[in-house]
Amino acid sequence: MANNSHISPLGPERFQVSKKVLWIDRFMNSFIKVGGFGVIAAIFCIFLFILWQIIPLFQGAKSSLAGTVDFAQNDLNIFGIDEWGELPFVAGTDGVFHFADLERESTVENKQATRQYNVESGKIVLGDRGIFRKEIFSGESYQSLKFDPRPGLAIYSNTNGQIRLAKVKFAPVFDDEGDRKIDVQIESESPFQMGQIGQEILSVDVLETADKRIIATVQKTDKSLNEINLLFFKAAGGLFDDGGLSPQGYVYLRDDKIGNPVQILINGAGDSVIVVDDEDRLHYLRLESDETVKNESSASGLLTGLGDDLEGEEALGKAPYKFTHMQTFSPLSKEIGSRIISLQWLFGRGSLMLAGSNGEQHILSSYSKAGGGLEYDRINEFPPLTGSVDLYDYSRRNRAFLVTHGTEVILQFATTGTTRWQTDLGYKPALAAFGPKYDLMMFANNQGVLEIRHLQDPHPEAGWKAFFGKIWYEGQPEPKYTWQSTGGESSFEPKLSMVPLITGSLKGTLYALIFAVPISIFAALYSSQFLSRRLSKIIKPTMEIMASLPSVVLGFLAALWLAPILETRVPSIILIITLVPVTSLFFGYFWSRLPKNIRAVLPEGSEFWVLIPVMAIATWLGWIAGPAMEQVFFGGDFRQWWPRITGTPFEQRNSLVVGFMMGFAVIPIIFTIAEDAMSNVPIYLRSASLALGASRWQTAWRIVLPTAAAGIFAAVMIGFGRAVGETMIVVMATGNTPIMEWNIFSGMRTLAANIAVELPEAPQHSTLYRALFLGAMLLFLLTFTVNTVAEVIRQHLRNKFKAVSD
Amino acid sequence: MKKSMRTMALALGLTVMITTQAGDIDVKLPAYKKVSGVSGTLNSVGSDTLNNMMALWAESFQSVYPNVKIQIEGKGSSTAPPALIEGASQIGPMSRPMKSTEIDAFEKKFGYKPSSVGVAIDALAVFVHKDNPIKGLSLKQIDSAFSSTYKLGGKPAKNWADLGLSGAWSNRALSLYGRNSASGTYGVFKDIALSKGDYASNVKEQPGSSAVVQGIGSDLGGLGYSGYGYKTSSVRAVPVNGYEPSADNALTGKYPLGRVLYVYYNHKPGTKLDSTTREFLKFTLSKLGQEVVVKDGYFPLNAGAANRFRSKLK
Repeated sequence: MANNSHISPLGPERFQVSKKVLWIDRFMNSFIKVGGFGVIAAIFCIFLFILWQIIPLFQGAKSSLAGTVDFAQNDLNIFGIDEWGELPFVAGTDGVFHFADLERESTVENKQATRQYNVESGKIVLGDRGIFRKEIFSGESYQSLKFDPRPGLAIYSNTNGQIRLAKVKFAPVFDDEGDRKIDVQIESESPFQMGQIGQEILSVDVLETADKRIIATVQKTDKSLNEINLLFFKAAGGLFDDGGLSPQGYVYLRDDKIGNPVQILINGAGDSVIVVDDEDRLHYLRLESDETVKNESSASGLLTGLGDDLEGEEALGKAPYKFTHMQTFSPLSKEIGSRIISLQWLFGRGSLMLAGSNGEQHILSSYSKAGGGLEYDRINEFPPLTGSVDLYDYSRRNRAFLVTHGTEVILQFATTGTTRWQTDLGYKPALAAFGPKYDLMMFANNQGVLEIRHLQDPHPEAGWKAFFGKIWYEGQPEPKYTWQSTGGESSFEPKLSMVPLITGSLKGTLYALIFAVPISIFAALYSSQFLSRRLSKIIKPTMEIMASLPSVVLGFLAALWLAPILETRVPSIILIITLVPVTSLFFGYFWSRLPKNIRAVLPEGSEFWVLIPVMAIATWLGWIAGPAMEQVFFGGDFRQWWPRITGTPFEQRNSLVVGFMMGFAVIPIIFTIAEDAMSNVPIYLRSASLALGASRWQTAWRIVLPTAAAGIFAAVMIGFGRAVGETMIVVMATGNTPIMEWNIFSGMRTLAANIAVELPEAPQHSTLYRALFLGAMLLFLLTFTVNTVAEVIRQHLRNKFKAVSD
Repeated sequence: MKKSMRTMALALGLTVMITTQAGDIDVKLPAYKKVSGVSGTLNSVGSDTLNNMMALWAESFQSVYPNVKIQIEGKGSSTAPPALIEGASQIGPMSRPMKSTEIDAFEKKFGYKPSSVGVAIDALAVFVHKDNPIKGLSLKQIDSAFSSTYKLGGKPAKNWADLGLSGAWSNRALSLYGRNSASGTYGVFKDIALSKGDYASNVKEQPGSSAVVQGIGSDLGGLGYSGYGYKTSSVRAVPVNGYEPSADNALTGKYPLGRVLYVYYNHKPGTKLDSTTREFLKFTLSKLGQEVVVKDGYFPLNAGAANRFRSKLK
């Protein structure tokens, strides 16, 4: 413009804009547009990424046929496979194991990738070793054989009352080129005599853990009732030692309450047994130490056995245990005419899967009664099958189990009660089992043809019900919403309910806002309407600096400084909270009654100089009077009074502490936005109000507040967003207890804190990892919904007051 | 006859142990010999219980090998396997053995299982506030306080009267402190004291062992657990089942919450272990290394166990 002006000062060119400005204008225009869309696209991408992470949680299991292996054996009782899926075996009662060497080729590019079987016309190609056999005994006669893949134990039993155990041990062997081969060893032990010679074994169960082994049998006698015998083994070695089990002694279980026993099962802890009698009643007995038996083998501990010589065997006597009868119950009492077809453990040996003759499938678990003491009951059930269950096996990785009836196979998950997968095999399997890693399933027909199927079910414990439904978990007295994602060992049942976390997020936010909203809005009102301009110009930036306090510092202060103080001073806090506003009001009233010449001493907007000492005195009075009030009203100790009166606990790390500290983070945000909204109320509205004779308070309350309502509402909502997403304060100042109560004196676990606490331990793409993303998604949806609703309401309010403010 | 001899030998062993006192280390432990060619960085991610000890080991190891840089992060045992799998660390200290699912994930990536050595012994301690008069607790009582499943058959305990205190303490509520679920301590305590049951939801999950101890120390009704090495003057470790948490009692198995602390590492079978990792682990199992264990408040390995683990380091 400037360089054109000297050519034609009055021509139309003087209205033209320079090309450069136009170009910049155009550029900025599109740049901002692109930027804006970029932001939206980025948020959308984040949303999609999170969605992508959580979708697998809601998918079922997949299974595909890998191939078949023909063992050409028709006398088989058991089969199994190593955890690498390369050396399946079948075995019969004759003491011979037949192994098939299946080489799984690793792809050339990546040795770590999933190994594939070589399959030709449906059959898996065998490796160098082909099918080979290992004989562990000969000349002994056994009638039945069981296999438990978790310790790899084959259990032979016979009509003579003998038990023979053989442990199948697989181990990978690496050659010089780093190629892997699976080697197998069978450790066979000499037979044990259970009960009297000649007593046929009807049922046997063996529990083997790192430090003990229990063999339990039900045996036929020449009398009318069967007998139960148990043989105990104890580890002589310590934690660093493998094996070294030595026999400890027998226990002959006799209990008049048990009718005629037919089956016995030992639980995972080895501290109780379940006995089934021929009337389909279950008897729950707990194992207790018997002080009357002096057979204490003292060689136990962490390190004994390292260099400690084991002594020769002594004649076995009675083991120092006895049984206490806890409960007798008939699980199928409601289903008239139905008999127990199968009763087997699930993984962890804490819950039982019961199949009835009418196709019922129930999960039984022990739990603590209200008055103490444990008992078993039904906790979950599955839709009944059309006929009874033929075969059953459970996963050794989670609570999944499979049942077959006829040619049909159903894979179900006990915790959530869902069916993961089902198919029709086209033939009636004679054996069915999972691979040890829950990545394979195997079925065999009675000609010895083994069918190996891949199983892809990375998240069996997930699903709508797991995240949002009430679930009756093992050992719990009732269905609950629970978050407890990790345990110390693999038989743990993950509990992944989002409900306590959502509750926690809302609870923390609620208490923070209860504390922050009144303070910040009244502060904004005072600062914008009553305080002198000069001071409010100082106050506002100071408050904004407060917002920059790192939340980890606030959390640290809350946990280590505020929480212990508040714990002992709750009555003082109650007094202060009531005294300060009340005395302020009284003082205001008193001040307004003072003669005008006294009030005129203080210029308008500086009255707080008198109010501050009054408030300080009220605070101090409240603080020192608290303990006295505690004596009078709360029986001397509020911490004990509260649980007694309300029945809810009093915790040191509670919502009050979080509310206070989170308030500190939220107050500056609400204050500064609300202050802006109130300061921006047009001056003519205020002037008009004051000119018409309204007092300053009337103007502030009736004119400014409604006009600025949209802005104030926005401020509160932004404060809400901040509080919901706040992490560090909550992580540090609460106990992160995932509880479902709104009690102000207990803690909480919020969605955000949960992600912070548990993400480092979540292996990538595990169920927990994806569940944490689900938490992130819920947080995202929560703030998204609240902000959208807030925006709608804000627009509505703005339109309502548009007439006055424009 | 044989049996009585053995008992006598055991009793003798015990008296020897008592006279030598906890804290003294096994004289037969080998001294550390410096080897050449050890340099580079060593990253450790894992247990919080072992965190201080790792830092102390790193410090003395670096004084032997100044060219080695060691970085230590300790957020919980469950953080060790993911870090080992992703290659973010070479060693993963853990206060519990690895779970089968964690081993599966490792094996899926590398084709072989992770290796481990035990480096120290800990008596997982049950702490109360220093002014708490309680004499001791049984495992059943601990289960009653911390669990929601009561697998040991006890009744729910809500206040200190339920654990046997009377007078002014009887109405005081139990304020339970524990570790977050990433912790191995969390898992070990759950397995032993809760008999694999579930924690009650009012157990406050603290991000570190020191936070647990600090919480109990500032909370009169506090009851919690953490590694014995984190004991401070504001808390007291109570006897469990009548036995004090001491080296002897942990070793003989009388103190039920004894456990071994591990370090996991990635060793491909048939190859030589990386020299820095090997020497560091050898160092921890030496006399010098075990002195550090004592300095940090845990209990050292005996020579037999240490040699057994050293033989794995090839």
